[in-house]
Amino acid sequence: MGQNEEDIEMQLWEYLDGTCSMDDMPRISILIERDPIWKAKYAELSALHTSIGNTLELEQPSMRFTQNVMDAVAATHVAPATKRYINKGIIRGIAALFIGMIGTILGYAFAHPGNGTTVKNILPKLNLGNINNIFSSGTMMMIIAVNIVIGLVFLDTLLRRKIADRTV
Amino acid sequence: MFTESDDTEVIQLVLRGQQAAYATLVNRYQQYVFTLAMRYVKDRELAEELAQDVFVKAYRCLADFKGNSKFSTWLYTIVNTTCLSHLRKKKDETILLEEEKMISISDNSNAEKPSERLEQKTQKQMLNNALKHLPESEAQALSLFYQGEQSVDEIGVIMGLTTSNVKVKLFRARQKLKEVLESKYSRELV
Repeated sequence: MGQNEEDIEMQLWEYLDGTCSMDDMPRISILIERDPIWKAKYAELSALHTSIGNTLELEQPSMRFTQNVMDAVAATHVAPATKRYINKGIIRGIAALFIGMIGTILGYAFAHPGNGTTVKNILPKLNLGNINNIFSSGTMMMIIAVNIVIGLVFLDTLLRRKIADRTV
Repeated sequence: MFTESDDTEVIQLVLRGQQAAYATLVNRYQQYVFTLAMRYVKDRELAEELAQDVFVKAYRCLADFKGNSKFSTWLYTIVNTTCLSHLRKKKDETILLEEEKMISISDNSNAEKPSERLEQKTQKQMLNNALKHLPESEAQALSLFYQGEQSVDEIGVIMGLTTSNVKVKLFRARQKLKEVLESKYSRELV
């Protein structure tokens, strides 16, 4: 099927489903009326649309289906709504606790500048001369390796999602 | 299709403790739920088991139904997640119909038994059989649209897709359905 034909079909299906925009609706109506290609395609797709709508059958489960469900349901009960047992107050309380802790530490640090807790002293001293020693240590290499693996897993997930979106 | 108020009234009765009222909802939606499950698993017994599981899950979570969507949309979302999680568990045993396989099956019409060919003569049977040759997510989208009477937006909610993705899925499903009908049943259609 050519690109143009596919595009016409796509627009006609949107027209038939009623999902095309209000601007496209009169434009497609005119094309169906005046263009023989659009008219023929519309007749073909419209017939298929009606045929699918009228002839697709619903499957019938066994006669005992409702009874089986009710028997299974009898052994259980309706769970309380999620909002009842997820208390937003608790979540807000935990957030407030963390914010409070950070605030207290920062407040203390700024309130006692003479006790060796100035911002300058809080920051770790980075000796660039020893950088080779830091990176040659086994622990650091392990951390870097773990980070690379996490990064690759994340990248893989991201690409898979993109491919999945494209193939839909 | 049933109105939202009908469903809401029954749900309220169930939530007030009238468990028997739930049978009304089961009777109302059993064919839709079973048909959707059949789109995924093809095996009647298994589909019935899954459909039953869907209704039990829906019953347990009924208090979580807020009425923001139609009850049917909410219920079909449970069908979708239940069937998908079943397929994930049984991934190795399930034969998924890929596009290439679909074409090879559609070309293989002569391999069918004469008795089967006789059965497939009516338009209903042809269409329903052609639907079985579609990938399950596309068959699901078609079923939700034509049988479940769900809008494109609602199908998006049920299947976890964007509206434009649902449109593309429906478009491809219909294209493939047309191709299968033309190749497999061209003699009967003439």
